[in-house]
Amino acid sequence: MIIFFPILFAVADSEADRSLAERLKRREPQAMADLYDRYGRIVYALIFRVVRDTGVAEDLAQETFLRVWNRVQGFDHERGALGPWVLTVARNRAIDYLRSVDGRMAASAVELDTNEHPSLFGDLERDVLNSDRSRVLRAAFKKLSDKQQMVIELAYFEGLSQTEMADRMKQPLGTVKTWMRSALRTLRDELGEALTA
Amino acid sequence: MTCEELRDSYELYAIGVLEDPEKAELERHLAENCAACREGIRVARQTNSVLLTVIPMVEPSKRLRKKVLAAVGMERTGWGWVSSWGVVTAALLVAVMYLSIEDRRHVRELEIAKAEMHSTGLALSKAQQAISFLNEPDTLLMVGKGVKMPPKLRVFLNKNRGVLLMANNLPAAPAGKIYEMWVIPKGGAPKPSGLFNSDEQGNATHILPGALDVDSTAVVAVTLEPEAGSTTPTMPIILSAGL
Repeated sequence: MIIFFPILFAVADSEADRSLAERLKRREPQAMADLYDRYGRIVYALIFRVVRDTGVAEDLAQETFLRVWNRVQGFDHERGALGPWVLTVARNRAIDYLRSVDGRMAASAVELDTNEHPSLFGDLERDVLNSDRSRVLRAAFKKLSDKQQMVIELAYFEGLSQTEMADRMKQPLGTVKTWMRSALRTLRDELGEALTA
Repeated sequence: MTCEELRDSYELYAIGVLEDPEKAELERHLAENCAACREGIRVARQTNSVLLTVIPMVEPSKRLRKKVLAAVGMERTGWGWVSSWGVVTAALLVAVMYLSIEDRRHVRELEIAKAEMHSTGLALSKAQQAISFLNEPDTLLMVGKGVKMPPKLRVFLNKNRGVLLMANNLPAAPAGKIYEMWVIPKGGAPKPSGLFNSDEQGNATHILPGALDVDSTAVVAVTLEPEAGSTTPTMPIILSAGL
């Protein structure tokens, strides 16, 4: 079983994120440095979690920030949640790399590209990423069975579909779907309570 | 399917791993502006983003920050402490240090250039030996399979000759697609820089001929594009190299 540790994520100050996004859009010289100082560690840790190689993780982290820089004009800085967008871009770069290594690149590249469009992060709660929620989810994750944890890991950190998981785990697709459904319900319910609290 | 039946698919859809038939059904609901599914996806994005922070902590190297800022042509100067000394004092200090730093830099650059020449000479010698070996009539070919390696990219920049891209372990572009090279200037938009494909061994060589402003070039990247090529990248970067 893989043990998770929450990153204490100090992004509760949503106003600072709004201002940072606005400065990025204005191409202020210091804005990119501030973006890195705010999200560099978590972006690198997330990518490393997926690719397990320091050199590759650095290259993909660089690519993540470059992509955010190039696409920030499409981000709604008044309403958008910068952190979730940056994390999604980082996760997708890492999954894209894994898939390219596995020869799964072409089929899934469009899928990843569409789920990270900055406009999709325009109506999330700005302070959704904070250490309290991370702790809640960590606690919820620990309640899951080993199989449930594994299917969550394979989906989020390896980018596998449920059919690919069934193949990898040598289990019937229906069984994998049951593990996934129950795992997501637990996480959703626990986090939902924290989000509405 | 009803919204209730699709509820367990929201998170997987939001991270891009949901498959048909659930995916097609959910997209149909979204296309019909189903309020319940739209709200479900919104909440799923929140759940997903929190889940992505529940990971082991790993510290990046200090050089990553520099690389990131260099990629967009914005390196922080780091001179905030100077104000306490006074701008004049700092300027004098800078002036005194400048010549010595420049001198050391030139020496270092010369050493690097010498090392590169030496290494290039060795590579050339090895290549000549390899060609000679392959040209021998008694040479036999054996083909083997090893562990699949990730794609590798090397990019050479020359202010007079342009860009030379060499990639290995790059799978052939799928039907209807082609690789496209992009030269990305510091703080600027990617410039389309030619189309190419890899051979059966996964090797690719591509040259963008002509003069190049090397100092203002931040990154050379590769994407997979429709076979006619694109004027701006439409797909994620597959490979990239920065100065």
